[in-house]
Amino acid sequence: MIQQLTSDFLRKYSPYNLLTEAELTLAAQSAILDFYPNDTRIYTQENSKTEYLYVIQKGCVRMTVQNASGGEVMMDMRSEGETFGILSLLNLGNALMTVTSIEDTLCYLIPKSTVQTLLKNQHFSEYFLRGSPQRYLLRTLQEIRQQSPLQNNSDRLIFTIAVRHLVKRQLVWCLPDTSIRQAAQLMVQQKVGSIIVAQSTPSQPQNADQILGIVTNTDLRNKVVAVGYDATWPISSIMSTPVKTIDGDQLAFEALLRMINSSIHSLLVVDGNHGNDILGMVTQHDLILLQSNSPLIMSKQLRRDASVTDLAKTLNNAQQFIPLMVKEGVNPGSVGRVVAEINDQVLARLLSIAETELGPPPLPYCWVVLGSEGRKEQTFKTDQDNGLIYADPSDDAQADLATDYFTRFARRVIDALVQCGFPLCPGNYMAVNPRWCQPLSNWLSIYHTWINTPEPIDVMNATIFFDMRYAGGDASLLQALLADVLPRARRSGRFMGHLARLAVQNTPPLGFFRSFLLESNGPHKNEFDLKKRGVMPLTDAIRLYAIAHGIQATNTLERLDDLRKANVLPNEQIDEMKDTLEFLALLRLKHQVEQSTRGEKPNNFINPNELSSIERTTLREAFQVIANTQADLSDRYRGFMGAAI
Amino acid sequence: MLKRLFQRQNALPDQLLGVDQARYVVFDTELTGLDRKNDTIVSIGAIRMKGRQILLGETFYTLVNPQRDLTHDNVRIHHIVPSELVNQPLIQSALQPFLQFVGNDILVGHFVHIDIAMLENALRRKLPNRQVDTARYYDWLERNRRQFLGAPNTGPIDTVLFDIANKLNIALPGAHNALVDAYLTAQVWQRLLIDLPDFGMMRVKDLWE
Repeated sequence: MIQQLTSDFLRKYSPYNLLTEAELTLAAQSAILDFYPNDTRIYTQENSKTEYLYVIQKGCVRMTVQNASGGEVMMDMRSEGETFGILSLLNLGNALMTVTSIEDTLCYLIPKSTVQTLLKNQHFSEYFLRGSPQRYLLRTLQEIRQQSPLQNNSDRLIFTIAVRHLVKRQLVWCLPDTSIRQAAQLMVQQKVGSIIVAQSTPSQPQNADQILGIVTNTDLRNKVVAVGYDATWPISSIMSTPVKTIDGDQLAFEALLRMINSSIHSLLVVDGNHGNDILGMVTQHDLILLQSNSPLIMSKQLRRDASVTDLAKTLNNAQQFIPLMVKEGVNPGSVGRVVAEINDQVLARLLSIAETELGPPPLPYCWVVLGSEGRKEQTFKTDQDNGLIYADPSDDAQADLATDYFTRFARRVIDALVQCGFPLCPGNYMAVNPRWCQPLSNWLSIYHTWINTPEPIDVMNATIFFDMRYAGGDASLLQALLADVLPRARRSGRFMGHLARLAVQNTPPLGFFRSFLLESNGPHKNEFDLKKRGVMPLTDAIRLYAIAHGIQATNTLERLDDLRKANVLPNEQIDEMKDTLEFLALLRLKHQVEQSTRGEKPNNFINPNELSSIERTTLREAFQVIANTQADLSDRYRGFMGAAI
Repeated sequence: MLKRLFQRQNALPDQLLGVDQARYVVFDTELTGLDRKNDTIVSIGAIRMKGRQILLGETFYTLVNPQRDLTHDNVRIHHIVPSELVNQPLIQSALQPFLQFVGNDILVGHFVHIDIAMLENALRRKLPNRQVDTARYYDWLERNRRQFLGAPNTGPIDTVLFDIANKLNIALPGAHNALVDAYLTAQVWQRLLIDLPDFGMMRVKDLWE
């Protein structure tokens, strides 16, 4: 009975589906079930002897390799149904990699002696030994050990390339007694965001010992412009010391991590093997560029997948990458965009699968996504929020045809999305709800009702529907909708007043003397809700500004960029809101990653005592920005907000 | 008396062995009812563990002829019908291979005292093996987590095997018999073994009978 359960599981996956019944029985009879809680080292490169082939029954592991300079390079992740450990077994049981569980993980362990028997099956052994991912891995492994940069694997580049290969920039530097103005001019000339201060005459500094400090745009802004340092003073009076360095042999993602951890944008790259000789500078921008390719790799696979089942699988693989990106310090804004990009690809495939199954649509349609998905701000898989707009039918017969077709169509797509792991929306904001699957003219009248006779519940609705983004089909339908409703919305003082009330209703938890106001009882005593009291009020405020100025973008950062271009708010206010958003997002993700590492369910409740003092100070600043923004909104919409109450 | 003592000594695993090194036989029985005097065993399922590792090939399963009628309720619970049991061994002969399978290993079961009582009734002697009740340990660990680690107090602790399995995210197989339940219990014990050392249960000697 138990053997049956084991062999039934194995049979579902390659290469175990290539085994004969007798071989499968042998595997099942000798197998062991072992459990590794999240973050357990299953074996360690070079230090462990491995005795088994591991097949993951449930969970996920990360495989890393140590490179010559002692850093860990991520090679691969494996999840349900996948195998690891064959190379180490073949290497006389000396572990070639380090394998760590990154979720609670159950594995079937197949002992070495059984594996030796199974390898006599030619299909089975060929899977492992020829043209398999393992072979590719073995090659990559050697390359990493030799520290050679991989030119083609751009998706893994950040995990495999050494920082020294990224140094492009000529060092821009000046002497400590250079005046602030001269240094700033040099920065402008060279188009750089920072300048190195070094004691070195007359030639350019060669060694880290000669470096005294660094001055960045932020220093110029904070110390010269804001505080009023005289521009004739020596640059050394405003430089930051010491300059953070990184060994050229370290990996790109370690550099990124270091920058994010110490909130800096550039690192001095030195050659540790040659007495810290200077190699150059590397900036966050250089590193982000490296990463931009990875979603493309995934989307290539998504485009190849033919069935919903295949899509679900690829998506699942892609999703496992997300917490890792967060953990390894990728900017939360880009995480959201990567997720949106992948989800959009999946949706595009699902729409075309549904069209193939049901035949061509009777009228053009546009599939839209709403809420956080519309804003491209989700990180983990969240509820579906979507709708369908179709062109107005010309007669009753066509109307009936369209209702029938799009009802079935929406049902298909929603079911497939569920199959891909997107839960149904509890509020029923989905295209299967007849209210959210309508011809354009009906959509228009729904919006008109919201705008003209706003009820509080309608305004709640409206916020997610004003974060509506094109996701597939005929984009001109959404364009037509927005072109009509955005100008109407901004002209309706009552509606804008309602939006403003919503945006100021949750204030940041900041007391009179700028102390944090915490929950005084309940399960979150001594904590505050970062999402409700921080991220959402700011998101709501920025949406309001965007609608007020006819901006169509839905992503909050893009809305800010467009507001900047429209020149309708002071630049400083936009900078502040942008910094605040990024800081809050980073803090929230960091908190949630820590929680999931501890095996807790991620939430938004933060205890300020668990923050570092820098984080606390910054958070106070961030809350102050939100409070100022809310005060600004109250001023602007005072007349209308009163009327609404 | 001396012989019994001797047997008992032999049956004990090394007291200083880590709980993660010891050998366990996780088992479950299905019964005609819960009356210790009048009811008896209709099936036994068992699976061996070495520390946290469940040895999937080392299983034991037997049906037993209870020599009495099964009530309707009973059949509904374990889906064993009387005709299946007619040609099965009687309890005394079924127990021999089971005891052989168990050897000196620690016996583990969910509410194990019920199964042990039934076994000992049939054997007419005490079993020398050390015994572990997963229900009791689960309850104890959960209490400790709440008291010392600030785990949320979510009301009374549910010790029903299937509910625990659900809570620990252990896959429930479709079928349900003594062996499958033993396998499920083994997976619960596998999880508990990870947490026990944190609460001072490091070695076999620390496990209570």
